[in-house]
Amino acid sequence: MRTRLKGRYVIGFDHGHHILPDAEVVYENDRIVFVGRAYDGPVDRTIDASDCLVSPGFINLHAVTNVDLQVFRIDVDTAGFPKPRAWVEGGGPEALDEPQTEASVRFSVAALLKGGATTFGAITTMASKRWEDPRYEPEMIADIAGQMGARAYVAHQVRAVVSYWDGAERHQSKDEARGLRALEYAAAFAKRIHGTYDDRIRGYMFPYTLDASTPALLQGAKQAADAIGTHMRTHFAQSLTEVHDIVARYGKTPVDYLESLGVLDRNLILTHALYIAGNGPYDDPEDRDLRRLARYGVTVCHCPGVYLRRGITLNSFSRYRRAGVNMALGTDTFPQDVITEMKWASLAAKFVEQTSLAGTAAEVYHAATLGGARALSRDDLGRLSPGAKADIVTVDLNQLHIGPVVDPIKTLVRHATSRDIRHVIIDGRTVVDGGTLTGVDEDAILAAAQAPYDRLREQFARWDRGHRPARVLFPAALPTIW
Amino acid sequence: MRTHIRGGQVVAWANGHYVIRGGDLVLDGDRVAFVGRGYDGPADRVLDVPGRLVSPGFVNLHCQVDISHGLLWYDADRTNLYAIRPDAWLRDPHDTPVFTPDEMRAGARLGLGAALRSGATTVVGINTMVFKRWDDAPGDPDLFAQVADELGVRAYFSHHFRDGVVAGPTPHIAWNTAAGRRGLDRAIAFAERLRRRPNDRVRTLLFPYTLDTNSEAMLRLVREVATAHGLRIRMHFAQSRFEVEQVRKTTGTDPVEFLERIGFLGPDVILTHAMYIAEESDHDLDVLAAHGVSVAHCPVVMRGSGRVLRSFSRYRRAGVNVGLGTDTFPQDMVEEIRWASIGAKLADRHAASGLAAEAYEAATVGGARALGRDDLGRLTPGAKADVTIVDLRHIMIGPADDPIRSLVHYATQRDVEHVFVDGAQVVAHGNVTGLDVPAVLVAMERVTAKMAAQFVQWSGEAPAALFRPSFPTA
Repeated sequence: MRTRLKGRYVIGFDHGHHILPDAEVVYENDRIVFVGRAYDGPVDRTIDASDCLVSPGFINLHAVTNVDLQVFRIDVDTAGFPKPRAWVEGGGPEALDEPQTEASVRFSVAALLKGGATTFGAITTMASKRWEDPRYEPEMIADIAGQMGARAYVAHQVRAVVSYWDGAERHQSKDEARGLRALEYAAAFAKRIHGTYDDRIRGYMFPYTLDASTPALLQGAKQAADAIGTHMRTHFAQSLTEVHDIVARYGKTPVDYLESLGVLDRNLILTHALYIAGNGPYDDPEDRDLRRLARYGVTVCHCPGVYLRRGITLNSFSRYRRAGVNMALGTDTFPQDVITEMKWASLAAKFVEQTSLAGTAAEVYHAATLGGARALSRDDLGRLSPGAKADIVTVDLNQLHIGPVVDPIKTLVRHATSRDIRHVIIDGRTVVDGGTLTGVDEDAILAAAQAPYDRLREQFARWDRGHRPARVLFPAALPTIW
Repeated sequence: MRTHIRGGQVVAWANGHYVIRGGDLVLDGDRVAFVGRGYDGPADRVLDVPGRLVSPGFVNLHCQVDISHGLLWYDADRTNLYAIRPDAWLRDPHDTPVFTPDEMRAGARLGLGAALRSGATTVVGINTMVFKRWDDAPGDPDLFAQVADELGVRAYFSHHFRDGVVAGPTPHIAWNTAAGRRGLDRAIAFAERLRRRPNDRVRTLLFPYTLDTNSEAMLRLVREVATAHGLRIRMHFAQSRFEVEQVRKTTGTDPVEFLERIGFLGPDVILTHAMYIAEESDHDLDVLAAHGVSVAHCPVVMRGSGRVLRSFSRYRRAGVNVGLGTDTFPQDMVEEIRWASIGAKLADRHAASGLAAEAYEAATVGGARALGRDDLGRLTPGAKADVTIVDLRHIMIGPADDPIRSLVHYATQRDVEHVFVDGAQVVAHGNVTGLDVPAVLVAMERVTAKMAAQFVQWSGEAPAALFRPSFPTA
């Protein structure tokens, strides 16, 4: 089946993005065959998006596939979600059971697709878990993403260290053997799902955070990723505590530590990378951290929104790019809107560097397309060019709040949100049409997500050291009559 | 006409906002008649709104109502725009306007329409003075008033004036006392014309445009006229380092101290931006608070150049009344509320700064207080029937939780479903009544191209150097 998609502005690719006004994209099944003007071959159908920006689909490299927890912490000055020792070390059921997890995943995948992600790197919270994911959860993510038409990278998440509280004290429980057993399962899982659903679903390896891993866990995960031909990812330098822990434990800074393990290469994605490069507890006047990440071809996945809501931001997106680091974008929290995330990346960089010249629309758009594709070693994603995957997003520009268009990329970043998306096309299949998911009952998906959401909220209240009820722990913004 | 808005999450008012889950709001004519639960009186129209936030309409304290040039400068090095205007243009004896009335009307439809669509029921209009020499053309505020009537929005417009302009090529202030007086006279005449209108939905404030382009004599005169005529005053204030330096150079004092010394400050004064004050201590904020001055905070226009108020929450803690304004397209109050919150968190490096409730309050009662209106920004019997209803039931907003936090952090202007001003519905299902959106957009594409061409001509620079496009265009 050959489809012609006509747009007001098409973002074409030829050694870089360029803007084609009044142009078209033609794709056959899952591949693009033509980008330009006046295609004169036969087509089976035409999609009229002549009011729209036609963009390569966005790559949301760090996408939450469970109902979001960070929501609970907005405006609240707390550090995470501590769990009691009894739950961590005891057996007992997981925070969400299988039906609740399924509702949570289905809702999240729906939001990710509507948020403009044609490819996403799935992650889930470990705040409500012990050493690894419950086995049913990544299975569900792979299947639901596959069935809903998404392109996704899915991992069984593992760690060797879990934090808990006991009385007034915070502790870490370390069990490397347990972590390595989980890793073995994670490798088998990644291999099993890799290439399923017409190769839309792939596996990857995910030792969850740097400080919850051991050298053996990181090296084992990287070897498994290499054997499968996929990437490894970890949360990296996401808190000052973590960087202090690494320095204390190994006598090395985080980048030195990873270099010594031999895991730095083009198939490594480090999410956040906030407290390195002179932004943490050690100086780096010669920019050694960034220069090494650049030299090894490591990707930093920048997720500005989740940190901005806590008053923290990367120093800086544009500086990392200038140092040659491949930068990609992820949402990491609700509302999983890649267009908003681009805007935040842009504004945060301008804020940090104190100039309108930093964080340009072009830079953040690159991160959400080519930067993500490069992180996944995919030259068939993040671009509209013949031979690339037919992964396309259209954005309706003919709207009051969009206004007159001078530069469609600046308009996208400055004025649009994912709510303005009209089509999301993945592998040539239209999964969002007219802004709505095709063949899916959105209202039912949203309604079903309420139970796991409320359940997690209550769970964290039950785990609270002070035994505060949820309404006290997560207070309403205004006095409320219930 | 009595409208019963039933079953929403109603933000009611009793010396402060509070939320009634599953509440009723009844509008009678232009006033709120009932807020609470279990209304069983008569109604001409019942609107069921489960899952929606029923909010007092937002007050946009600084809404650009003509032709916004903000998008042109995104990612570009926006130096002093006024200084790129050639002297010959400034000295044009015919005061030839850059834009025609039709072009300004299209701009007003876009700006006011977008503001209304984002839930603003009251807008305090400003128009850019980059395309003007000394003051507005005599009919300009009347033209905006007509468009406000067309759309049914509550508005404050001003005839903008000043007795100084920033001239180039090295930025400096050129003075013209006669032009300043002429502008003030025209502003007073506009206030007189407004008095003859059948309703008071459109009102005015005196608007000496910026602190640095008004002489001390001019500001003293404005203060006298304001008091004599019972008019409020607003002014761009401490919005750039250049401005603060100019004020220091001419007055020998800092901006707040200067205004206090000349007796300018009072509860009828709104200062927009107020960025570069109180940098060493809270003293400036204490002075503003003591005089009851309001600050109009416009976070979105500032963030494009990396600037943020230090900080929204700090000003509030010092007792300064803070309202919110947009100041640039897309005049989106929902985004403005969000960035007031996030900007404060960033400035204070603190998660518990820029609280959702603070940002929401600024967008409602903060703006109302700035205008001296106890009948706006709140839903309580007797207040104006200005209501914004936001639909929070959407996958991109997520499971239901705190409605204020959902509004501040997840909603967009697209979720604004219905808007009422003076009890009349002016936005229905997200559409601004009586606005031909495609026609406005087509008109504004032309106007924007003309504006870009004007900047190119003034600056003598190539468009690519001036505007720094994202990607090459084929």
